[in-house]
Amino acid sequence: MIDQMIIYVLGSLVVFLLGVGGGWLMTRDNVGFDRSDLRKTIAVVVTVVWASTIIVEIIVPTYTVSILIHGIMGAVVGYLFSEEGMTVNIGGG
Amino acid sequence: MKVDIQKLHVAVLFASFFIIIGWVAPLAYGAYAPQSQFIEVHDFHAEDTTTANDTHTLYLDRTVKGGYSGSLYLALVPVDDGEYGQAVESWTTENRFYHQGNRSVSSQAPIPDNADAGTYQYFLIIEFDLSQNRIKREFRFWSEPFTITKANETTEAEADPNRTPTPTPEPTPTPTVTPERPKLSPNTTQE
Repeated sequence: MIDQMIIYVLGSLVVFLLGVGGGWLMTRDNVGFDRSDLRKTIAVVVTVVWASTIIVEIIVPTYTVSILIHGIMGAVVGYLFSEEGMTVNIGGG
Repeated sequence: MKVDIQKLHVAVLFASFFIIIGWVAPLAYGAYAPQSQFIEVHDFHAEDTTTANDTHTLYLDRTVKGGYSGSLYLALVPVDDGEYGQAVESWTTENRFYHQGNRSVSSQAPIPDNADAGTYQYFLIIEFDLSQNRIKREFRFWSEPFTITKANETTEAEADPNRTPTPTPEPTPTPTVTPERPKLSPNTTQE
């Protein structure tokens, strides 16, 4: 029986390598996938993972996600969300 | 009016939003989700008994949707013409763990000495600790009515050695009451 920590480490390594490989494939010169598209793709993936953790936290009583992890995911999505920040229109004009 | 939010501020804004949603969503689910998402009670009844007995058997067939810790409150409540009286006796058990799945549990519930003959029901409150003990939620159940009858008074009179023997009256035929109870499932466990 493999130790659970080893499974977690190997799983994280596999996901990391899949991310690196996927990013390399999507940003090759002849694909037409520029840096901006890559940033948005990563932001979407992180958002989906974050939503999944909330669903699992609701379904599985013993599973919990640290508030720090929620904050880090949000910060990553927010940082990748826009190139030059956001402009918000309040009211008319 | 245009408000330019710098990139770092956007990151902080999103982090705060994610933290709020991540913290509130499980609490909201625990507080407002239907009871059936946590526990279902299929059968809850107790055997008819007499005041001479010290205990009687209580049956509970329940399905818990997840493994939860919590507490349990049980009260013996008299019922008179559909009106609930003051609880005769109550018991509280803390630090229980409810295993996920369907279980039929039978246990010996004590008959209080001050319980008079009559119709009773058990009132059960099961409290779960949800969202890593951030919220406690109660689920309430009533058992089927059962009766406590007076013990045979002839038994008490025969115990007196100074009593003058009296002719024993012909026994009055009494109707046999056979409570119709569902049979216990094979996985019944005694607490």
